[in-house]
Amino acid sequence: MISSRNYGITAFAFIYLGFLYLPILFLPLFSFNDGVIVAFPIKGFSTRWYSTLMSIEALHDALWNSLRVAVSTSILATILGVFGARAFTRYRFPGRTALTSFVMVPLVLPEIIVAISLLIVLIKSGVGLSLVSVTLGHVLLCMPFAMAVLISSFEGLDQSLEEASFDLGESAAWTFWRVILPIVAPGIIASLLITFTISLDEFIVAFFLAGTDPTLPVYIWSQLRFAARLPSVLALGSIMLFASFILLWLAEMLRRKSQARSGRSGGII
Amino acid sequence: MTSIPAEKVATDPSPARPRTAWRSSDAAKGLTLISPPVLFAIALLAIPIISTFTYSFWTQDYLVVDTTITFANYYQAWTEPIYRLLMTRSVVVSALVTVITVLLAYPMAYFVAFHVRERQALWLFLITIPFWTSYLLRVFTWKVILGFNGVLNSGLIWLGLIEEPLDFLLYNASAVIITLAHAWAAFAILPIYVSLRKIDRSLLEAATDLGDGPIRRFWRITLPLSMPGIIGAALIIFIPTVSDYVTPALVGGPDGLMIANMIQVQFGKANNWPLGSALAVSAMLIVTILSLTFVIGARRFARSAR
Amino acid sequence: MTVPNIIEINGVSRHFGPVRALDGVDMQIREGEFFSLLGPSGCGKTTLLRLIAGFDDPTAGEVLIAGEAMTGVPANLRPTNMVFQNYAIFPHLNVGRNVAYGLRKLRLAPDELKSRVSSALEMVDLTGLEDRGAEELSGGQRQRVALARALIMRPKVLLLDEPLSALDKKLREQMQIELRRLQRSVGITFILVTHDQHEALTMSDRIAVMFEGKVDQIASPNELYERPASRAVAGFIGGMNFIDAAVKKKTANQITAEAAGLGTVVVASEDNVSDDASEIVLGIRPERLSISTGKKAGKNRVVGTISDAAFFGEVTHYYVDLPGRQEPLAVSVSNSAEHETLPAGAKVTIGFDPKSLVPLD
Repeated sequence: MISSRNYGITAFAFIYLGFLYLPILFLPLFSFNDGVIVAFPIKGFSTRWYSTLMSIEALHDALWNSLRVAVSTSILATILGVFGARAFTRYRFPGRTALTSFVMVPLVLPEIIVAISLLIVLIKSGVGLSLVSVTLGHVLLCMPFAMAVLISSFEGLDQSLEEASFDLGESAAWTFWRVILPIVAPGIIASLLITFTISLDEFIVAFFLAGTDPTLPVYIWSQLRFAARLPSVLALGSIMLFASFILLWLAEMLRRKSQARSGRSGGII
Repeated sequence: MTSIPAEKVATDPSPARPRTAWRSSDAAKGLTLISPPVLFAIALLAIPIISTFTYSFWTQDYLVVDTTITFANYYQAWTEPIYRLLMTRSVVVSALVTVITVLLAYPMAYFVAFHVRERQALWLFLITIPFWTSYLLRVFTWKVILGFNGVLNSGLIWLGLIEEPLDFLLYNASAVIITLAHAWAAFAILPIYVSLRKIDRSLLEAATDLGDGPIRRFWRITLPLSMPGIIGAALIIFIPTVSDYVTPALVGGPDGLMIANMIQVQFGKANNWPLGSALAVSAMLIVTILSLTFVIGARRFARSAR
Repeated sequence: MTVPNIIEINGVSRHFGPVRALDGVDMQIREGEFFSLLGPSGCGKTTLLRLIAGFDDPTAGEVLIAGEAMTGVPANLRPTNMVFQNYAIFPHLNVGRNVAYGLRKLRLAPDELKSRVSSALEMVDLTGLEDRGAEELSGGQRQRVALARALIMRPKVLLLDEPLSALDKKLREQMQIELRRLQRSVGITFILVTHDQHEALTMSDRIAVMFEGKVDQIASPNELYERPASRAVAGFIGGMNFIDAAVKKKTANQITAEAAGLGTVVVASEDNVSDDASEIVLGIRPERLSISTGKKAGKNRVVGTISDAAFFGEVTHYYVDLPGRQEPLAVSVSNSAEHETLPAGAKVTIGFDPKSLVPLD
């Protein structure tokens, strides 16, 4: 797996990987610690912080809010992404690159700019702040990710497959249903999962736009001030860590399947 | 029986394949298809940004917004020491984070691209996982680690290495830098890895064949050819970190606050949206100019390699 | 007996911006024939095939299929089916579902559908492979699935876009024979696009040779070979020596000319030559030239020097320098027990039959 003579760089790689993981692993470690203060030495094993979570109603509301936002966001962003990715990969039209880049702009725009700009427009236009405004902001942020995933999926779609379907008597709509959709389905699911995860974790936009209905990260933010709540937050974080891991693992598996299907290999997340 | 020229007809089976659509023009179909995402982005990106821009030229006195065009906010944003300090700190901290992260990420990416033979996908997956977990919690764990009664101090005391907790760990710019360098690592490793993977291995062999040792070869071939990845990584980190809000707020303390925190204050407690908008537009402007300068400079460096 | 035309191409042009992919093409394809569009890449043959299939519209002119103008008729409503160059097998469907793909609209009973699919597969020698996944097929099998999928539609015309180019040489030669046999047995008009002259000559009833968006010649393989209509056709199909000649006398059906290196020749044809032409080009196939040792110049015999020889197994190619000619003349000789390879530098006599000389533009 690793060539023998490069101990230096190999050691560096493992240490660096450790640096990346160590802080993350403190979350589950201290979430099972039987003490209020998050510090060494570990006092003992306890699951009480997890059971505390069960009784905090505000947390449940925030979680429910986040789930609603994340589900709506992932569906909307993926639908918009399908339109964009299909247009980009299949057609030549004036402004193809410019328009696609424009949709991708949120990727390189500081989130706080997106947040305050949306805040100004939503307040001044009288729409107001709600979970809907958070969702709109999240769709904007997630659209580039959906596009990126879906473009790579649509690119694997050989145009001659569509032509073959057309040649065999199918209309454009039936071709989309019988050929295109089944082939890009893994990409669509990957896009749903990734945008869902991003929305679930997003803080800044939600912080500015949530109004009176906090999402989960906004709720967590409000709890970070209270030292006594820390262990519960760690327990919550551990659960989220685990959930993210599962979702991403699923997304990665689907992406690979999608690439295998379109006859390509390699690639990264 | 047959002879020479006919055999030489190349087997190029790809004639100009017409891309015209079946029934209507490509242009019409493409534009129709791309319009939903574009219209969405116009409504929720272009119009809001323009509004922010407009707002930055107005003034606000508690609740009354005066729509007379004025540069007063910009004058304030660019002259008052507090804003200058926060802006400078944001840029310096972010630049340091960018440099440190890229310097650490490069060997990692190099290792995966050149020294890992079969399990590259696994390595990339391992590198990526921590970064898909909540940003808030990732930053927060550093507060837990670096705090006065935190994991690091308590661990060191427990191990008997120090007597008193170290108080310089948290609530300063260094804490912000460490936290951000950790939080953005994957965003540096992946683009560099991709650009390293793209390098044709025969180029490296050719350089060796022409007499370059490993170090000269790295400077003359590998580094210049991986420059697109380095540029990408640097931008991906620099642009969002300049205006990061969470990290300075959690681990920065008063000496580690950055411009985004001030923008938030203007939109929150201070309730001076025009000034907040001017700060935001200024930050965006500075980020754009610095990024463009960097891209041009880095490209020039890549081309000047000998 | 005249066979009706299944396809008529009338003055068809297709321009892509400034590029003229097709430029005023006229063509009639007869019912039940195996017709090939032959030419180098970029000659417009694939563009023409896609116009017939309905994937593209002509800039000018019209395509008629079975007497009906196809202008405005989309690909899914045309009585044609296509075998794609990469076969375009649907990767998410198994062989049976791929073959049955186009039958959805017929709403057949499951039994009927099943029997149609299995007989289509039988036709292409894939009996019983219905459940095989698309990804598990070899190149040759993919091609057969593509054929079955198109033929099950019972099209009036089957279009084949370089269907053999993805196969290795041995399989390609086998498939040439099979395709020809299949075409005869189903009786459907096949239109094959190819850049491979062997393929076109082996399989076709008639061939249209195209260059730069124009049709140079439409003829049977034999006629194309013996009586090429242009230098381009002559050079593209088989090998051809081109000889500059000055016209000395021209009567009906006969040209007397002074050919560079060959001396005075009498050509029994005036095809391709305009009435007032003074300079013409004569073509002669390398295998229509004979070679013998010694200097025996005379009528239809000239003396030259071998500059190079290349052994090809069943034939040997000699390149012979002739006085009065810049390029060496290519001569192809069948290798038999009697023939001994002649060395470079040897003086030889080249003999030819003037009937083999083809006047070209």
